[in-house]
Parts: sequence; C-alpha cells; structure tokens
Amino acid sequence: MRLPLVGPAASSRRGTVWWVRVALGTLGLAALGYALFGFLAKVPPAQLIGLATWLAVALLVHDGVLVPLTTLAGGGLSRLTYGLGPVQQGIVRGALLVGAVVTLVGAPLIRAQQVLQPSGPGSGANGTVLQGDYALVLGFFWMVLLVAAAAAVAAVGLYGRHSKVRKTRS
Amino acid sequence: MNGRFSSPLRSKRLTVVLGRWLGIAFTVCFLTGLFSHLLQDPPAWMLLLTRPAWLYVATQGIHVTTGIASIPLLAAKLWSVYPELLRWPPLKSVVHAFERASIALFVAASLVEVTIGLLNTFQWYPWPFSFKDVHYWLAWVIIGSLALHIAVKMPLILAHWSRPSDAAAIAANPEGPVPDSTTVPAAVKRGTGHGWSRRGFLAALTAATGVVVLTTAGQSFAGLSGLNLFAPRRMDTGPQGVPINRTAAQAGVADAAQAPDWVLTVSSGSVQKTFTLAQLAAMPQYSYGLPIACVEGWSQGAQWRGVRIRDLMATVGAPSDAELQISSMEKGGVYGRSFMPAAYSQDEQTLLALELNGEPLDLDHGYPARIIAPGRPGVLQTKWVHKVEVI
Repeated sequence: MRLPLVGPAASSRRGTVWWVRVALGTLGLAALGYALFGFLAKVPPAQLIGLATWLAVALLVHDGVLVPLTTLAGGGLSRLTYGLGPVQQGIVRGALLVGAVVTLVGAPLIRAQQVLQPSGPGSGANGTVLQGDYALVLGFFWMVLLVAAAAAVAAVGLYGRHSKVRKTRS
Repeated sequence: MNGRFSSPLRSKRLTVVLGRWLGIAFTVCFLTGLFSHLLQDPPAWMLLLTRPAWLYVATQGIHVTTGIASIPLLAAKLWSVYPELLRWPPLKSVVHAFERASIALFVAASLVEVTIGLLNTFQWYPWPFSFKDVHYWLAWVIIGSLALHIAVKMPLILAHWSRPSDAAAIAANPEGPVPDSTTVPAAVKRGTGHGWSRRGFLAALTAATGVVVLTTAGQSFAGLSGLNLFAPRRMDTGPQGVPINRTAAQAGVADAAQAPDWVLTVSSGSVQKTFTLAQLAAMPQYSYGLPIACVEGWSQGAQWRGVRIRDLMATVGAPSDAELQISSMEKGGVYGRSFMPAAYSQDEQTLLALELNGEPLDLDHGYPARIIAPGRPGVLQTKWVHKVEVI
C-alpha cells in the first residue's frame, strides 16, 4: 500500500491545521448545541418522538436494506458481465447507477401523485403540482438509457476487436 | 462479515473526493436555506434587498436543486464508508463511542433532511412533525456535525486530498511534471475483472447527479424548463400561465373572495380607509415584470399590475418607515397574514396587484387583490388581501 504524501510542508503547517481543527470542532459543537436548544425549545415532545422514529428508521432502511442491496446487485452484476472488458463493465455499471439515482428521485413523484391528487371537480386539488406523467417518463428514460448503454458496450467491443486486428496486421 | 462488503473501489481517497463534493453541496444548501429562513422572519439587523428582483428565485432555486444533487452524493459518500459500520469491535473507548454516535446522528439527520426536503417540494408531508421547524433545526445538526466531522477527520482528509498516483509521483520526483489525469486508474490496472475504476465510478456519479439536476432544475430556472422531466412543478402552467401554491378552495376563501361587498381596509393608527375594487382600479396603476418564487423551489416570471403599496400607505398618512401587517381572507397559519418591512413597502415595484399577465387576477392567484414584492419568498406574497395595517 502506498503511503499518503506527507511532504516537508506538513511540519510547518501543523500549527495552522491544529488551530483549524479546534476552531471547526468548536463551531461544530456550538451549532449542535444550538440545534439541541432549538429542538427542545421550539418543537413539541410528541413531534420530537416522531422525528426520533424517522431518524432511526432512516438509518435502518439505509444501512440495513439499501446498501446491502447494492452489494448484492454489484456481486450479481460481476457474474452477469464476467465476459465483458473493464470499460464495458464500467458502462453497464454507470448506466445502472444513473438509472438507480433517477429512479430514487423520480419514483417518489409517482407515489405522491397517488396519495395527493384527489380527482373530480370541486376537490380543490392544486392542478399545478405533480402533473407530469412520471411513470411513463421514467420508463422511457430507462429504455433510452439501456439502449444507449447496450450500444456503447457493443461499440467498445467492436472497436476493441478492430484495433486488435490492426495490431496483429502491423 | 466486513469482507463481504469490500469492494476494490472503496478507498479513503474516494471518500475524500465524495466528501468534498457533498460538503460543498450541504454548505450551499445550509447558507441558501438560512437566507430563506431569515427572509421569512427577518431580524432587525438584516439587510433586506429588493434588487435584483430575482434574488430569491436564484437562492431558493439553488437550495432545492443542490438539495436534489446531494441525494446521489450522500448515497455515494455513505456507500464508500459502509465497511466502517461493520468494523469490529464496534466500540473501543468512550471517545470512540461518542464519535460513532455523532456520525450516526449526522447520517440519520442527513438522510431525513434530504428526504423531507424533496417530499416538501411535492407538498407531501407523511410525517408527524412540522416540516419548517424540523428542516431548519436538522440543518443546524447537519452543519454542526459536518464541521465536527471535518475537524476529527482532517489528518485523513489532508493525507488523501491529492490523487494517490500524483502524490506518489510527486514524492518520487518532486522536480518532474504532475502526471496527467488520463493515467489508467488503479482498479483497472489490477485487472480484477470485477467492478470498475474509481474514475469510472466518479464519472458515473457525476453523470447521475447531472441528470437529476438537469431534469429537475427547470422548475426553478427558465433556461432548463425544456428538460424538466422529474420536477413536481412546471413553468407556464396553471391559470394565467402561473403555478399555484394553494388554491382558493384549499385556503377556504372561494366564497369570501368573490363576495360583491369585498373592500380593502387600510389603516394607520386611528386613520382608517376602505376601498372597493373599483376605487382601487381608479388609483394610479403600475405594471412590473416580477418573479414569484416559492420556498418549495419553483418560480415563475409574470407581469403584475396594480396599486403601489406606498401610495396606499400615503392615503392614510402612514410614515414611510412603518412596518405593515397584511391580512388575508384565509384564516390562520403562515398564509393568514404577513409582515412587510419598510424596505419592501417603500419599493416602487411592490404592488397590491389586481391583474396578472393582462387579466384580472384569477381566484386561485388571490382575486381580488394580492401582494407582489420583489425578492421575497412566495409565502409572503399574501393572496386574497383584505386588510393592510401599520403596526
């Protein structure tokens, strides 16, 4: 393992770094103290219990479900793309990452529409929020993404074969 | 257990790069959010700017868009340090326990903050607490935790600030040129045939973040409205081509606002005057192109026409440095009334608007009269106004 670079400048910089750390740490604790005061003074206890539940569930869902799922998906992907070169594997993973992120941001819109948009005249619903056909757009986005990724994987494969042939000839 | 979650991609260098991006995003969100919070309830010392009129469009658009961008950045940052969660033994000392608890709070607060922020832009509130209070105080938890985290991790951050290849090359040959950025990344060189390179991962993350930014920022920035696929708001939609925060039906004012006996009451001390809609329309009318910008991040430019607030104040002899209380026919809540410091009421572009885009205000836009002032959050642009008082 390469050791991180610690140049000669480090020793002369140490004083500054130490002071920056102390200042940041103090400011951080002050901000946390201010937040603690704010929560206790301005937010009713019943809401604080609700928030504590949300914080705990967020940790559990993220650390207990979402990250393990990405690990499983990554492992599965390694097997599925075993025959592909490193660049092609990168393209497949990159496309899936883009798709996953867009789904993470886009899917809640679909759920919110189901929950929030009462239908019929006189419902008083706001017709200027959540009006997109998000499910269709998301589906279309995935289609374009997968086609583009497949084309890029094929192009890299063809280019690789072509350049190997040229190298052999020359 | 820890080994199962290992990936050749994870490294301290990757975490430092992601941490820098996320740290910048969170700081931008914090500052723009604090600005918005202060504007909604301005302290006496605050300098209130009415120009540029699009100031709040920019700051709140940046707030919401950067918040959306921080979703993939946060996910990637947390993914890069996931094995730390499973490290054994879980607690080595009291200080270590304290550090882990502070990180758990940092992570949980960040996850909840970006989630409720996103859902708030949908006007969806599936939680048992006040969004405004909790979003604000969690922001202080996050910025405080961020500063503390940087202070604790600073030696690691500094050690991995530069690329390892560059750092090693510089160490080996301090006189030589810095290696260019197209050198083959370590994970590829290792030829594991598993996964991808750090640079490839960062490129994909940049692409993913770019896609969510480009497909949502169009609700705030007109230049990107053509790419607006995944934002809850669209520009140029709604009655008179302007989106709505709350409809008259939602506010419960539909009947009162259309009552033929509606009058506007303007008062200063013991002086009080009432104006019918016809009397207001007979006063000098001014027309300005001003954006309306909501705390939820969407904004819309429009042409507003009506009576200057300072002209209305003059009719009751109100002093020019007076603060106003504007009351809506909507009862209670943050929309029921707003306060207007002199910086806004004395501005020539601050109107009691009667018309929007060349027509009388639509009922959902605040008929018969609403406030429009430059550079203020939409929540303060009170609709269905029936009283303007000097306080």
